[in-house]
Amino acid sequence: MEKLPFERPTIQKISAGIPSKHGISRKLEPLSHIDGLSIKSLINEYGSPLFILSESSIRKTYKEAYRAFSSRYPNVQFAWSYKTNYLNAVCKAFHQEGVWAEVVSGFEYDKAAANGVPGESIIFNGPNKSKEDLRKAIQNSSLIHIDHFDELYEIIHLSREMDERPKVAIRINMDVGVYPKWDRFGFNFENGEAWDALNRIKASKNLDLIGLHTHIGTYMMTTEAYKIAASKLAQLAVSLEKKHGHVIQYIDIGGGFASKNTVRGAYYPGTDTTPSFDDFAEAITSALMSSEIKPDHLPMLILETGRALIDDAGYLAGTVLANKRLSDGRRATIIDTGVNLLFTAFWYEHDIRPIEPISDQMEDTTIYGPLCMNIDVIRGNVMFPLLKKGDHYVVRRVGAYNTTQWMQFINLRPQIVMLDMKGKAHLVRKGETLDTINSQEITPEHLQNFNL
Amino acid sequence: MKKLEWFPQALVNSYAQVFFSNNKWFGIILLLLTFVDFYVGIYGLLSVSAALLTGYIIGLSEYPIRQGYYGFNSLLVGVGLAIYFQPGPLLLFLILISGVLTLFVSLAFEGILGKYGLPFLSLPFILVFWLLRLASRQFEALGLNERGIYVLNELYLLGGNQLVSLYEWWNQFPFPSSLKTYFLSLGAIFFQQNIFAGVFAAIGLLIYSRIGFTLSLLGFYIAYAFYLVLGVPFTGISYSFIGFNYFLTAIALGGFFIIPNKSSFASLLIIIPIVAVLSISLQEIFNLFYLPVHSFPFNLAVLTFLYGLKFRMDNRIGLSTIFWQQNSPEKNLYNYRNFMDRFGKDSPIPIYLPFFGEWAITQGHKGSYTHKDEWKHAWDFEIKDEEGKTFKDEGDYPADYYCFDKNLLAPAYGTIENVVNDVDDNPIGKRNLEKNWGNTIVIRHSDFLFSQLSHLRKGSIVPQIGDKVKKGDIIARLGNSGNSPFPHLHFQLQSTPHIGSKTIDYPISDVWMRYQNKDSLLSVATPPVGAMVSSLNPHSALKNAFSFVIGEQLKFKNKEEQQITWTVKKDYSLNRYLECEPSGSKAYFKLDEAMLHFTHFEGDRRSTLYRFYLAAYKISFGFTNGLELRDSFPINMVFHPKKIFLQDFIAPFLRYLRGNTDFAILKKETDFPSSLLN
Repeated sequence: MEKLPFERPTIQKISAGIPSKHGISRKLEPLSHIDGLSIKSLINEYGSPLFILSESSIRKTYKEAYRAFSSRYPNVQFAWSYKTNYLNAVCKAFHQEGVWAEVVSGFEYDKAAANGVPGESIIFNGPNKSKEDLRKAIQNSSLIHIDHFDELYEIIHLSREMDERPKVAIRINMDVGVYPKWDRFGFNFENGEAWDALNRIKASKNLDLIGLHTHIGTYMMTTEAYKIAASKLAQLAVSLEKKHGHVIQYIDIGGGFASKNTVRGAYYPGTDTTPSFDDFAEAITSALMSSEIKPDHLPMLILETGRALIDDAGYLAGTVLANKRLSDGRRATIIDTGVNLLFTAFWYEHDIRPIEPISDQMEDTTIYGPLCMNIDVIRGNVMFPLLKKGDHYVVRRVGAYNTTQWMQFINLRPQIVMLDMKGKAHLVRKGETLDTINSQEITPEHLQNFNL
Repeated sequence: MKKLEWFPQALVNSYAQVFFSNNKWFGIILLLLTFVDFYVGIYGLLSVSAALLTGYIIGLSEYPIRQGYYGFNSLLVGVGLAIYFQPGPLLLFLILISGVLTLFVSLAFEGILGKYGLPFLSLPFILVFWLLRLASRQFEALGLNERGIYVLNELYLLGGNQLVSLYEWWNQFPFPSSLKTYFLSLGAIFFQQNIFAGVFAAIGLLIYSRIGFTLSLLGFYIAYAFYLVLGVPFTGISYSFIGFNYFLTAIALGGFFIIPNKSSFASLLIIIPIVAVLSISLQEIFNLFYLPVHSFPFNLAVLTFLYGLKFRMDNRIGLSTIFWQQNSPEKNLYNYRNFMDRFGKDSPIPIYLPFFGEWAITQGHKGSYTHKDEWKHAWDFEIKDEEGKTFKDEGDYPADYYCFDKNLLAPAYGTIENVVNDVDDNPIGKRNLEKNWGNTIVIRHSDFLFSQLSHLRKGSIVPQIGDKVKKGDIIARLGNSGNSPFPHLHFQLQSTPHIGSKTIDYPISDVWMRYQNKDSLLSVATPPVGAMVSSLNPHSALKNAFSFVIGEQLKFKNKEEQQITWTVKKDYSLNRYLECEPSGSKAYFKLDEAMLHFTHFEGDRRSTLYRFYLAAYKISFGFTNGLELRDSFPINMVFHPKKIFLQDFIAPFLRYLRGNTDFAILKKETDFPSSLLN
């Protein structure tokens, strides 16, 4: 007879299937495969921890989003928000689907260009564009979204110097009824600054004003705000046509759609509360279609959705390092992923689960990362099965921001694989080695040698 | 002198038009042929000139004059009179005035028959010639011509001994007797009763049209066989007086006014014997007046058949009548085939897809569920995801279906004719068979074209009866009402305004279709079940660039610094075209909301306009990166005439040459071109 696996003893109040005020007792279903490939075999091959991306999920999510908008509006264009995840493999998968690039720095601009995105399909956003960045963007006819007057003046100056017609849009912030108000980017709608900027652009005669852009915030859980934003931009476009006879080519409504992750402290899980692409699309397109914009002049609708497109496609798999008992009697499980890799752990109650069916019993557990830091908490308290050292876990919905905001800290950053449409794994970013870190460093001669 | 620049072309065409042609060389050959008898030649020439100049002076439109439409009847009258009467000042005068008279008779016939869309053929000639034959019996001063009897004398005067011996050689040449009769008949069209003229004319006919040549032989031999069977007395000479009726009829109905194909060739088996009977019986009548029937049987038969064919429901099947006469059976055929390949069924009012985005056709024409009998020409549309599912989750609720509650658009400009807006939406799986069509909207696009959209959401219909809608206006949202177990759009076109009228087979315009792993952009389409269809969003910059408003002029310089002007014009039948100055070439086009197609080019193939015609043959104002468009040219527009010489003979049955072309947008430059913005 085969030896049964050992399961540590736990003490639990029996609530056998009877719903309490917290609902029915929940069993955490293990997740053993992604796109038909076993997570365990991936860990064995590529090491632990390991970021796993699903190409089919990327494409499927994009198609769903595109369908939601294109079945409601005649002219829709997505632009991939590079900062959300600028792994080349991810960007190129989106570009293959016809998505443009949206970048917010010279570095991201170069990355998009190096990926082969034509200049005309790069949207250059953000408050930080150096003179050289702008020069490059103007040269390549990229779409420059102006953030502030100093930038506007610089562009006007450059347009004269270079004798080119930069293609610009202005970023507009406005009150859409959500808190906190995002008013640090762009020109304000309500106080008239946006009009000042538009008049200034029209007066310069050197710039091609082709779009209006807004980004109302991040992780928006309400569609109403988008409706307000879209109708305010439409209103501006109509006034612009009335006053200057100028027809706007596109309205860029930014991003900020929430993904299905549960935000810390939220009462309901994100899977139940997050609006769908259809909900966002309905709000935005109905506002534009019912605006006073002439049907012939309906502008292109650009969306810079990042998080909602990629979060679901990312997984982080790893290994349990140890278990211990805390002073208050709660269990602690230490895993090999810290907050330096899983940056979003600060915001989300991540969906973390075992990859094998370990145990039917669950225990209130705190999940810690491997860093020597008190803040290194992946989940504060979660009903978690009784994983042992060496068992594997997987965190779902980690595709957004983690591989751009992660830090090399204490440990090296791990490998990233992408599963293609047929479920075959491809290494898309190599794990760091000591050489990766050391190769960037230069030690002065006098510090080279020591004698201990 | 510049004023008469049109004259040579008009003159030569007047000769060629006797065989419906506007081929220069054919015209010249026929002109020379009339000069076999010098006086016949010169009087014919004078008669035509009188008619053409009169037409020009009284201010007729230059185009038909150039084409020779007003000249060929006068020519026949002139030639005919010169053959019968002694040359002299009196005959000269008579010929001049009869040339003018024929012109006015032509105009009168054009007015009368034109209303019925029929050509006047050689009716003016016959009428005037009969008139003069009858009248001339009173003209004592006109002596009957005896020259025709002494042909050799004439030839000797003209070309000396050599020409006479050549003529003799021709006449001695051992042609089979039937072929001899054929040549005699061919010559007889110009009252030239000799083989020499016939062979000459036959070569000209061959140069003009291979199909016309084949048809002339076919028409002749059908009649020949019919005479044999009937046992009607048949002699070369007497037959040749009426023989041309058969091949003129054969060319006209076998390939000129009707697209040459198997059916048109086969129809001659019936038509030619009818013409033979007509000729014999009419001759009996006209014998009472001592008049020859000439080409009257041909005129009568052709006009009767063409008129009769107009009463058919569809003029494009079997015997397809010409809608764009290009004066050559080959050109007509190639252009017709090409037009049918490109545009298929005509859609005078383009009807576009009534929604945004890409939808799947879940039931097409003659569908397996409900599109049967009277309602067989209808489509059901739904939205599918990449897995082919039409709903998310379990699909238990209408809102789970991707297409549910989506905006629907007016498919074209029109007036709201009928609205039902108060039928409850069904739960999934339930049908409302009492109110079969559910919430429905019917739009009138013309007196005989209505579109109907059904199974809409209760209360979602925006416009009211009598409201005008433009293409692309939002008119309703999709629901699940009526005989609809799950949300889908029923879309049909009909010729009456009632809800649930009988459907008509009418195509949808500018459809981007994904079907059986192939992407195609179709200018008109009847998409089948399983196809994924959407509209490409027209790009305003392209649309503006190709908008071609009538009267607009495009001016530029070519490499040789030559000023070139293209003017947008329209012709009598409202076909729009670009006319190039200085080359005078014309490129005809068809323009709608989303696409530009060039349909036809005539003129100088070295002109920049020809290049433009080739390059902008098919332009879609909506495009994506790497968009590929497939199309085909009429082969006569792209191949050298030498290359298609053999093809021409068998073209009515088999076409082995293809003028396919591919257009691809390799890389789109920009979505926001500067030129457009300011």
